[in-house]
Amino acid sequence: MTTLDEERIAALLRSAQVPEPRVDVGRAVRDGRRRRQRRRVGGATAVTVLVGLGVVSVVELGRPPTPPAAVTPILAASPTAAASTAAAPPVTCEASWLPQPIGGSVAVANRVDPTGRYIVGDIGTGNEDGRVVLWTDGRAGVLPASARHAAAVNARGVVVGTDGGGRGWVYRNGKLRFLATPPGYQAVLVHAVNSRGDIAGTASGAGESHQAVLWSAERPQEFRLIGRQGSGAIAISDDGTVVGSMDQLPYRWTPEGTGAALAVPDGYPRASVDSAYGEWAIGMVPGDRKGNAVQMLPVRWNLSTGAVTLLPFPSASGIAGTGDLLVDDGAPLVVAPDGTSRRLPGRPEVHSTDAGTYTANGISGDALTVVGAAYENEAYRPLVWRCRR
Amino acid sequence: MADAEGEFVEYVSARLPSLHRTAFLMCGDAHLADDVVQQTITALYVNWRRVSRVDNVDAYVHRMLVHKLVDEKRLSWAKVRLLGSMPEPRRPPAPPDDELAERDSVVSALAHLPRGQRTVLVLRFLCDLSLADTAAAMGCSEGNVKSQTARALVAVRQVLGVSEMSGRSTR
Repeated sequence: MTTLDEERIAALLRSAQVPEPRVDVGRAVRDGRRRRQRRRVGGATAVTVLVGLGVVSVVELGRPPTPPAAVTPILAASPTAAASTAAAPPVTCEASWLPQPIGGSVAVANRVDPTGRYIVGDIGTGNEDGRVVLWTDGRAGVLPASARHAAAVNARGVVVGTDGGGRGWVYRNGKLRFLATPPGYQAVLVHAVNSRGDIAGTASGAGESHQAVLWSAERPQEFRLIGRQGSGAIAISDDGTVVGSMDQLPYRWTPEGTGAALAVPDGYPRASVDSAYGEWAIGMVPGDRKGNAVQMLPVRWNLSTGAVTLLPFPSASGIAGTGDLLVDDGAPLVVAPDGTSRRLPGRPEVHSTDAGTYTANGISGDALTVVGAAYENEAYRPLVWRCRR
Repeated sequence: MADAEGEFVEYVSARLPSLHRTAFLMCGDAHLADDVVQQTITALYVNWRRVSRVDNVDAYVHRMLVHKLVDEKRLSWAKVRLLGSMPEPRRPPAPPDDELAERDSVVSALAHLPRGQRTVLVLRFLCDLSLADTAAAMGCSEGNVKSQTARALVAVRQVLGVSEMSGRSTR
């Protein structure tokens, strides 16, 4: 075999008649935004994106989000300082690596159960080939390959997620089972599981039709549709209260299935819920228009009072049962309901001080465990921050 | 933030013809090539912030493309099993008497190769990936790439006609 042969093959391949591509870059951007939003809801990224009715969102790509000037005093703290900025109960936090049972340059912890005992994440090349990893008391186990994109884990180590084909799954007692897709719908998106094993998600079908669905971890082939068409479920509390959306409005259903809209902040046309735990929920409202894009602003609901507040941060990635917010403005920050905040510390062996070196994706119910990753030398490594009061 | 999106659109627009050619030559199916490229650039958009930071973006994108193709193939194999039989269409070999015919015949030559062999040929000789990058893209060893390449070249030479190839090579 000669090099000339190879050159000849190369020339033939370069000049071979191929059909005209029918590929749409605009569609890729639109679909990609939608997927980023879903992933964000699922906790894998912290990008402020929401595709709304006739509104193009601001997509934050390539650089860390810029904190608004109003919160500079809180955000100006050193990115790696483990300190409470107020006289609130002193909390000390420590970052430690999570073990990686398999290779992969993108290894990220995404979610933690309310107790901090179970952590789920992804390890892969960042190339849609990630395997779901479940860390139990710090020990890693890899889920079967057909479990992709974990969305949540509960206090009993039950993991739920949605594979790349829009099929929901539940991993329980070492077994993977798939969730029924309701008839008339083509795909589901699974978002949450409560301590009883009730699973919440959204089924979607032709023409953007969608509806909120509940399953049970014990009987994954059974399901219950919630609300009517146009509904969606994002979170489910331990008593079975579902939080999600109905058309363009944030919504809540009682365990009996009675629905009511959640408040939208004055002056805003709509709002969406991203996640909820206990009596708290967080989400976003469309803020200032920038050209033909809109900057999405984070909000927090107190579900027991129904009050909604705009948050003075670029985005919120999670909320604990204590009302503590996980904020990622280039470095992880936990903000208590009274406004005091603590930066999560880094690891001494990580030298990069760039914004975005550390990402925090999930927070436990007591706000004492935060999970995420550190990015350096073109690789992400999974991290857990454990704090003590 | 608009810059990164502009950067993405610029990159993809420039690479689209070559990505599509790559996908088509790997799978031999125009619709599948469209689908796979569309999926690849969508995934690329989602991961752009991360991907645009890697050293060799092209190699990375090729890897995504190969994975998407394998996924799609798996899916269609699953469908075949589900629906009974669905034989792959065979392309008639083109008469090898002028250059245009030869260009087409490389497509039909590829159609006769197993997937791994056509993937190595396309990645190594069309995309100009190194041995290591090809192995990484296909998720196999470099030795495996070498042996697949050797077998693929033998097969292609047979289809295209040994005499013609070596005649051109020594000219």
